[in-house]
Amino acid sequence: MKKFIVFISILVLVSSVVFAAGARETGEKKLVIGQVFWGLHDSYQQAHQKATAAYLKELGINYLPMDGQMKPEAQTAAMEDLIARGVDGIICQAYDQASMEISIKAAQEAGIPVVSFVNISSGDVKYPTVEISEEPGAVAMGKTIGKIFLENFPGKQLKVATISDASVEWAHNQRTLAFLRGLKEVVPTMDHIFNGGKSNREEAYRVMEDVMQRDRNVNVVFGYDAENGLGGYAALEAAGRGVAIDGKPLTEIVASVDGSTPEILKVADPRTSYMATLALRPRENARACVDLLLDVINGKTSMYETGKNVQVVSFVIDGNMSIAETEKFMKDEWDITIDIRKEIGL
Amino acid sequence: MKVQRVKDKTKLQKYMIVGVLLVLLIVLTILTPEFLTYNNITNVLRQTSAVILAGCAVTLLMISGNFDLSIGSIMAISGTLSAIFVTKGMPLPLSIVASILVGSLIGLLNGFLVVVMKVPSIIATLGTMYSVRGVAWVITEGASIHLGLGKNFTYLGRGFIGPIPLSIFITAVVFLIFFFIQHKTLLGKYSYAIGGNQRTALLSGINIYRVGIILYILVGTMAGFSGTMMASRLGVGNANIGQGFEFDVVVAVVLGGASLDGGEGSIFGMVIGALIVGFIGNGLNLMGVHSFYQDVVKGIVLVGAVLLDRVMQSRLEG
Repeated sequence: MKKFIVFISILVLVSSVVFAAGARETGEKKLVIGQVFWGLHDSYQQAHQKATAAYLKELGINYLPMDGQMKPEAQTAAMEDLIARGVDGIICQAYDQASMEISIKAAQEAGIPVVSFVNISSGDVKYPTVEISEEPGAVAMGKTIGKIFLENFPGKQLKVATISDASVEWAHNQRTLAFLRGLKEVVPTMDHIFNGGKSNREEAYRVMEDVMQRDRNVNVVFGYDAENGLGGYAALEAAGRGVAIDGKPLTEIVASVDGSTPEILKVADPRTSYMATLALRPRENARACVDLLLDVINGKTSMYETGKNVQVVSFVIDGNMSIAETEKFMKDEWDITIDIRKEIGL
Repeated sequence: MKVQRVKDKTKLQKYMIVGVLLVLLIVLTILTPEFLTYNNITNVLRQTSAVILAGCAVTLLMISGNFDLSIGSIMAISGTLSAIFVTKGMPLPLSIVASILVGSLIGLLNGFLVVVMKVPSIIATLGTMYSVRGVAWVITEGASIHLGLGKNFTYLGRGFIGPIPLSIFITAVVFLIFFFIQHKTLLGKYSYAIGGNQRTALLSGINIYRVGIILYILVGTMAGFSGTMMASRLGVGNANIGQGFEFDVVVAVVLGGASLDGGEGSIFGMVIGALIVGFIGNGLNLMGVHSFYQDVVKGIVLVGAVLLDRVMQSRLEG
C-alpha cells in the first residue's frame, strides 16, 4: 500500500511537471516585472503598488508585487523568489540597504536588472535609482510650520517633538532632520524635546502620550510618515488637543510626510491643528520606476548606471492650497476621487 | 494500549503531513511553471533553514512540555554580535562561535528561570524576548552593522559546497544530529517522558531539572546559530532580524505534530511543517498573491492542522 501511494505520488508529480513545462512553452511570452516593497501595510506603499499595477496593465506587462514587511529577511526572500521566477526586471525599495544590495548583486549576476526606489547606490553595488526629492520639501515645510507658529503663538517657546525612527536613516535624514533645519531657520530658539517611534500608528500614539506626559507644553509635532503623524495626532485628539478654530491652532501644530488621504483631509479641515503634509506622488513615482526599468531592459540605460537617476519632487500641501486643487492632486496622484467638503463635514 | 494509540497516531500524522506536502508541491507545480526548478527549491530550503535549525531544538523543548518565545530575539542579538565582533577585529570563525555562545547563555538563563525559579515558560521567555531584543537595539544604536565585515562574512549564509548551498548542507547535518538525539539518546527519550507526565518522569529517576536546562541551552544555541547564519545571509547585523520568528518556528513544530501540552511531536514532522509553510509562502509569492492573504492562509493551515489533530485524537480514543 505504502509503495503504491509513493508510486502514484511520483507519477502525479512527474505529470504535473510535464504539464507545467508544456504550459510554459505554449504560453505567450510577456514581460514580467517584480517589485519588492518596503512594507505594504503603509498607505503610500499601497497607492504606489496600485499605480504600478495600473500602469503595467496599460503597457501589457505582467506584475509581481511582493511585501518586504519592513524586515530585511523578508525582503531578501522576496528578491530570491523573483530571481528564481526569472522575471525580466525588478523594482525595489530597501528596508536595510546593505542586505538589499547583496540581493541586487545576485539579481544582476542572474542577468536581471534592478531599479531602486529611493535608495541610492552606495558604491559597492551599482544600480539606477528613482529618487524622491524630499529634502527641499521637508525644509520648506519646516519653514512653513515655523511661520505658522510665530503667527499663532507669539512669545512662546517652540517645543518640537518628532515621531521618527532614526534607524531608517534615509527617511530620518531627508524628512525629520530636514524639517528641523527648516523650522530652526525661522525659529532659531526652538527646543527639540523628543525623538522616537517606529512606522506604526499604535506606537506613535503611545509615544505621543508619553511626550505629553513629559512636557504638556509641546507645541509642534512632526511625524515622518502618515502612520506616525496620524498616530501622534490621534493621541493629541484623545487628550482634547489637536483643535483649531477657523484654521488657527489652539495648542500645537502637527505636520507629517506622505500626503495620504487621511492626512490631507485633516490639513483641509480648518477645525484641526494638522497644518501641513509633505505630499509624495505615488503615481509619478510608480511611472518613473517603471519607465527607468524599461529603459534598462530595452538597453537604453545600463543596469549599473548610477549617473542618470531620476528625481521626483515632493511638495507641501498646507492651508494655502484650495480644496479644488487638493482634490485634483488626490485624483491624479492617488487615484482617489473624493469630495473633501463632504468628507470633513463642512 | 495507550502507547500503541500514540504510536498509531504519530504514524498516521507522518503520512498525512508528507501527503499534504506532496499535494502542495503538485498543485504549485501546476499553477506556477517556475515553481519546480532547482533554483527555486534551493531558495525555499535556504529560506526555511533558519526555522529548521531553531525548530530542531524547539521541537524537543515542546515535546518536554515547555515553550520559548525568545528565539527571535536571540537570533537578533547573535546575528548583530557576529557582525560587531568581526568589525572589532575578531576572526570570523571565532566571532561565529562567540555569538552562538551568547545564545547558549541566554538559553541557560531561560532554563534557570523556568526550571529552577519555576517561572512559567511563557512568562520567563516573554521577558527575555523583550530584554534581549532591547539589548540588541542598544548595542547597535538602531543602526545596521555592515561596514568592515569583509567578503567572507556572507559565506556561511550564501556560500556553496559544489552545487549545494552551505546553509542547506549545515541544516541537513543539524537535522540528522537532532534526529539521532530524538530517537537514540536518553535526552530524546527523557523529553517525551517529561512531556508525557512530569511527575512520573521524576519518580522514575529522571533528573527533570538537568534535562530542562539542557533543552533550553540547546534552544538558545540553535537560535543563536540561526541568527548568525541569517546575518551572514543578509550581509548585515540588524537588531530587527527575527521579528515574529518564534511564531514561524511554533507553526512548523505544531504542523509537524507536536502537542502544546507536551509528550508528542517529531523533528521529522517539524521539517515537513517548515517546508509546507515555506512552499506556501514561496508559491503564493510566485503567483503574485498579496502578503496579507498569505498570512490568512498561514493561519488557516495552522488552525486546520490542530483541528485535524483533535479529530484524530478523538477517533483513536473512541
